[in-house]
Amino acid sequence: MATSMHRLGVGLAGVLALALAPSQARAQVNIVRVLGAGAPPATVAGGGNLTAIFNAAADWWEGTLVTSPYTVTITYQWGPLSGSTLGLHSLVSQGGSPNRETAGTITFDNDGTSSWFLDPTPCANTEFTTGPTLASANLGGGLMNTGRTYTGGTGSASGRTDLFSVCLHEIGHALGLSSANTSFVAEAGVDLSIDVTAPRPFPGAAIPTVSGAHLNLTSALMFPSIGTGLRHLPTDADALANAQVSQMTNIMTLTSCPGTLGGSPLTTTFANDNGGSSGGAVYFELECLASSGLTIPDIALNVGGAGGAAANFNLYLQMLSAPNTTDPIGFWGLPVATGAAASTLPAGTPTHFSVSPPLQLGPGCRVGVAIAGNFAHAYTNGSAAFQVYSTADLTLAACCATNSPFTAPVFSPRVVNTSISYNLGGVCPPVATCVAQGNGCVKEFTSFYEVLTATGMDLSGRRLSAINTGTLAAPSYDVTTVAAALQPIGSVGAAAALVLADDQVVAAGTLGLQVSSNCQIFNGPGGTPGFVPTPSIFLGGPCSYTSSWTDLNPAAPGSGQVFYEQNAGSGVAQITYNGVYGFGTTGANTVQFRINTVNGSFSITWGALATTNVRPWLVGFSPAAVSLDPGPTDISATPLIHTFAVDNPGLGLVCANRPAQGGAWNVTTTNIPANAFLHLRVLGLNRPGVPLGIIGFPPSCTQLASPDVIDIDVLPSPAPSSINWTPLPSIPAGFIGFEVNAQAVTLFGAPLFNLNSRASNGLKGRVGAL
Amino acid sequence: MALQSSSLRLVERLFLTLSLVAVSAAPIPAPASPPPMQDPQDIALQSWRDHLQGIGWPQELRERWAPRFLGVLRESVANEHGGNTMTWDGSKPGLLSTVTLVLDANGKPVQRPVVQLADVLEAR
Repeated sequence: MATSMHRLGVGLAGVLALALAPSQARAQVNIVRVLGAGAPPATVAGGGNLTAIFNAAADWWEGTLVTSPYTVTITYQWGPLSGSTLGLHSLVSQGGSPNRETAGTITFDNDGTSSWFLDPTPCANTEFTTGPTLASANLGGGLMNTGRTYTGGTGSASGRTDLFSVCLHEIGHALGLSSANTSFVAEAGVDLSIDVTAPRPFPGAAIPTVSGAHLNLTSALMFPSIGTGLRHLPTDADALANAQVSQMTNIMTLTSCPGTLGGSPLTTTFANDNGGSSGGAVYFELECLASSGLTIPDIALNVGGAGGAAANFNLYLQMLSAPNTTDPIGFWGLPVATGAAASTLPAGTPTHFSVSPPLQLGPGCRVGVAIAGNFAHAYTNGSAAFQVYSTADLTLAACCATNSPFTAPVFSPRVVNTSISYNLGGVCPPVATCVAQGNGCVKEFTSFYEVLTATGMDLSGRRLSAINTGTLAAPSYDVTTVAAALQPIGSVGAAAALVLADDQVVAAGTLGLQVSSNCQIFNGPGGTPGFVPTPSIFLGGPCSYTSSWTDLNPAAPGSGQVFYEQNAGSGVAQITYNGVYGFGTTGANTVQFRINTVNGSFSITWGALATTNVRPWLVGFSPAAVSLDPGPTDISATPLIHTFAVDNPGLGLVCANRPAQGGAWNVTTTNIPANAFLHLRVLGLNRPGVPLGIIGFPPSCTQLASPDVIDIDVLPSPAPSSINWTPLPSIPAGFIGFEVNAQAVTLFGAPLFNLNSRASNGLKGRVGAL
Repeated sequence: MALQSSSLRLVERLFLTLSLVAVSAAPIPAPASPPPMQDPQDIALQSWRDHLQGIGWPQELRERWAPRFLGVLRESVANEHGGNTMTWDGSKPGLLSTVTLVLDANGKPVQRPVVQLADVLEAR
């Protein structure tokens, strides 16, 4: 009866788990519990009962070990045990691959010589005044938790043996640490040591055993004896020993009973509708909300493909001071952890990776995370930037993805498909940081754009005029906007309605232009008429984009048409989207392009626009070929936008590594003008933010490091395009948290500071341990 | 009724007579020599091998580990079968490892050996 009652409970719990906590569906250890014969002795106290306590202990172990589905049936009972024996485990059967116990028996002494504390609330630990007291040891694979103990038992717990601890101990035998288990004999029978190997955490650790299948760690749960008035809980060492013997992939070291955490794991989604290239990366932010911090030993990801192969990833961090600031193509440094999975599962199914070392986050700690693996990520298109997923302890903000780590183009928004399992307890990783601040000067861009929502579109009734002061092949524009009405259709030439399906591009006229249904004009083939206006596509060529890009559908019944007209003699074309419906709506949009294909100048005039369009507008111009992203510009608020024939990112300063103690901090000055004759390495404790235009620099240059230390390089002619230098050549221990600012300056001619002077962006280095 | 009783008695005598003739005609066997007594420790060791086989141990491991689990003869007491009840003990702290044989006067087990292999937690 007890068995069937329990299985019913498991069934209901399983349904709830599937509905409420996706990770619970990652079937791991399933302990079937069978209550055997025997009655409790008269020496029990506390008010609890064996079945409830045994179930709590079994639940704990089920939540601790990560593996493919595995079931063991344990018969537990009261029975007389000789001498000072409190509990006994015997293996009944074993088998499978890897070999594991499949059935066992556990007996608790009832001959009257053992005084038991039967805790009515084993998950609360309220009867113990002290704890948990943690112990740790480096067994060869890094510092590992080897003790988690409550002491100072009061009331019924005082002077008695805690049955919950003994249940945990004996179940621990059934999961691998058994003298009758051939896997244990093979692992520890000769050298009395359990040697931990990947993919489990702490590879290289050698966990000592003693007295049969016990651990020779006095604070561990699996030590062969236990005192009274105290409680031992499973430690990393206990869990890892079983995981190694039974070839389980990972451990989840719980610090409290399962279900009492604030919602581990944090799961986004595994309904992938997109994915990247093999070797690509996904990016997201994590913020620790738990006051105790947390530790992440396991990250499940959605791996593209059919699965079956081993996989691994590198995990990189950016320490963030503000939300939504992860920079996918910024500086990430070396990986701070790795992940490994023995075998991936098909796309759409979580593949669990053990994280080594487990990633710790302290309270309030906010990090950008990049995961780059030897596999293709499967992920989900986001509906907004930095979509947030939260538990009570942890917040994840989804960012983006790239097909090559830290390299444009950036695909955004993308939602990483993940399930992040965590334990409470952790501190912010002492990661050294190198963060770019401010802008170098003088930046010059070939493109400009603005992204506006349908309701925020403020260009209706205005005309954008872009006058080309450069050449047709390398245009340079002066852009202004004024209030203006549309030119009449037919004012340039005979107008013809174009036949445009939804999301289609057609060649129009004889001037080489191509017209998109989504309000884009291309100067040649290759333009993308996608329905999601995307800056990276807009900037990516291969033709020029003259855009008021949004999702329109001129093929919708009742929609207005797109008219094309041209004057072949003057090379001028006019394209008018005349009351074209936004996709899926009957909201009409009128936009008119006039393009001079001889000199490259153009204008865009907006008439009445709908506020019901489902996608934003992307207004601007980008020439053919890949262009630097200038960032958005408020077109209506900027009196004059000037674009250049060639992109120039300005004098740059980039991180070559992090300022970690024991090493050197290296940076690189980039994009040095060929005519520069001096290169200044500026190092300062402060970041003044003073405009350098006041001493003769170009107006966009800013002082981003106080000149506490300046080294000067005299440059050859022509100057090298980049210089590697070392702001901190040797960082001693004890400086964790020390911050310093670096900036590069190049000078040309006389006077010393003039409009040819350049100042780079700043870098703020923060010394850390990693 | 009386006639029937007499008839039955006559049949019984005849059957008894025939039986005695048959017995007297049978060859008389030579006295049997007792079988050689098997070393109880060998029986105990084999019991360990059998137990380990029963819980899935491969032969190579059984051969190597059975002597370790066997340990030493801890107890031998006379029993009601004219033999001894003998217990070998290979236990260590945290490990219960015993085998008990109940032997008759001829050193033969009168019941299945009892093998115990268990991990135990002791009170400190």
